[in-house]
Amino acid sequence: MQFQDNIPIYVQIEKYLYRQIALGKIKPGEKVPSVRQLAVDLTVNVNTVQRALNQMNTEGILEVRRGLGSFVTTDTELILQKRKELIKDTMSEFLESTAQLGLTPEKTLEELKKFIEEEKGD
Amino acid sequence: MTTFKALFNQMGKKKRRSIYLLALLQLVAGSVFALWAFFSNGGAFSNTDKPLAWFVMVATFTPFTDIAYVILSAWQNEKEYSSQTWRLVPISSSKFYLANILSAIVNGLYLVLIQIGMGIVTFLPAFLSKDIRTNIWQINQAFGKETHFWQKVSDSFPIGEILSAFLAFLLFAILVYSIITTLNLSSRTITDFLPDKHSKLVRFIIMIILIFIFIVLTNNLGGLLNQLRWGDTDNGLLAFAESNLVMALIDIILGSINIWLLKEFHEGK
Amino acid sequence: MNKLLEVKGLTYKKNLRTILKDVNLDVESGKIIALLGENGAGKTTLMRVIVAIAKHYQGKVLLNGDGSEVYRKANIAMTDNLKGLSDSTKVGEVEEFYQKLFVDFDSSKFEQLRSFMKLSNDMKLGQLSRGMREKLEIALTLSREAKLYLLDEPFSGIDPMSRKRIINSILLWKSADSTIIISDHFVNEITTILDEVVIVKDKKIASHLSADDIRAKGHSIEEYYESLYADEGAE
Repeated sequence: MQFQDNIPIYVQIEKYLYRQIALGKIKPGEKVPSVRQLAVDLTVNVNTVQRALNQMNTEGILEVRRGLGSFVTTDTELILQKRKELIKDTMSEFLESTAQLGLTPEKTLEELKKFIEEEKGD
Repeated sequence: MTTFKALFNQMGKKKRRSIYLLALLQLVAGSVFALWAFFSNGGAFSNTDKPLAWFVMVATFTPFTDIAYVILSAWQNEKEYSSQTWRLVPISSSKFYLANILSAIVNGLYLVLIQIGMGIVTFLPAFLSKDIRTNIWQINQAFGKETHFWQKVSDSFPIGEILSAFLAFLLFAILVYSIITTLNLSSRTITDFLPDKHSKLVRFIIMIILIFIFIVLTNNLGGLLNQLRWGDTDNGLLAFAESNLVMALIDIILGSINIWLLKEFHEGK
Repeated sequence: MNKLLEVKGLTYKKNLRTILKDVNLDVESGKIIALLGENGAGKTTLMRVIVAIAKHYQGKVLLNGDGSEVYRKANIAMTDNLKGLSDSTKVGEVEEFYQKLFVDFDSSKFEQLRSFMKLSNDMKLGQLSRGMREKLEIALTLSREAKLYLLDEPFSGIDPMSRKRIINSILLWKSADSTIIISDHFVNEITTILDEVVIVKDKKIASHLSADDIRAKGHSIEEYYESLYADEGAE
């Protein structure tokens, strides 16, 4: 994956893992790849991965079992909630960028609808 | 931490290469000259001596080969003191210094052994000549008639003096390498404390000054060094012991200076 | 995370010129650190002092609290240009040289690195291209089981594809408690693997921060590095 250079890497790793979980690529109760494996896959530092996993552990999304690795929580309620957060985040980011183009949220919605219709027409 | 033995072996390995090359060069050059002498009429060798030509020619090149070895090994020594590749090795400066000098000397002795071997091989054709065989046989006879054979041997080759001479040779070899190293390391260290403009010229001048100081010092030690000469005193062994002591002392002083310079100042690049 | 390397009040002069002035640096174990600075800023000298190759400096350099030269050389692996070996030396002989002289050298690790860097044992040093030679230097250095690795501008002649693969191999093989310091004069693809960034400027350490702390302020490492040097240009 490609990292943005002006956002802490551990935050981006967290987001990456949330997405994996939200999309069901890593299922509730399933083991997350090892720290070293993740570090190599993402070309990042082991310490950075550890920091991201620790953060997710405190939030309850992951459960770190000593000597076994990290597992996704079986609390589907929590995962759903996290998914909502993620959607919210993406929306607000989207609105921020359209605001920079001078679009109000209402106008954005209008444009978005138009855009989707056009895409369907193609 | 690296052991002395491991470093000694690696340093020796690098020097051994030049030994084989030098010995081969000596053999080839000697052989070419010997062939030329063999086939030219009225040359350096009379017909009866011709079987000896190979031996004589190869042996003639011995001092040149040995001098070439001293120059090459001294150059290799200095290269290693100034090389980061070698200086990164985790070992104390004193062991580094000793391993370098001793590996140069041990390989020098190895070269001498090879040369003795070459001497024996190149002498073999001489046995083809009847005249030379007779000569050897006569010498043998002369020895054989002696009742006290070993007495005769020890008279012609006094063991005490041979050992002293060998020690003198070793100490002298150490001295040669030490002087070169002291000149190299001290001149480099001094240049490091001066501006780096014209550094090559500056180093050359420093080198001249150091050599001058060296000559003055050795002149003052002249009285003692005179005794280095072979057998010009009545008691040869005592003279040897004295001169060896002096040389050992100088070796130790120069060695200490070199180790100090290596430890505190001289950097590998 | 305990303190691995301590540099205190380090001043180094050569040919009457000051190259490093009152440098202080603390490094913990288990980190990957970039040492950034312009050419001639003193990065190489700093590394040479740390590994006890550069001499006659003021100040202290301690590795695990031990300042002795032999201890530092035994536990720090630094990339070396191999100039001390002749051009006719084969890769296999260089390996033997390292294996015999560094007790922490792991031949099986070197074999893996060597084959993955496409170096063969019969190649002679003089035949290697710049990039190949740098690969060999990195492979030799990483094959030691050191506490601290100093990689001095290791990637300058290596193509980006190989760089990525070497970085991956570093991530795979680095033991948890060893630290790697990588020097460079520009910020390249190594940024994502960094824990910390140390910037050398004006003979001193101008900044020593955690990489994610720099990013948390909305700067990329590159922007931050350039901004530090930009002040200089204004003068």
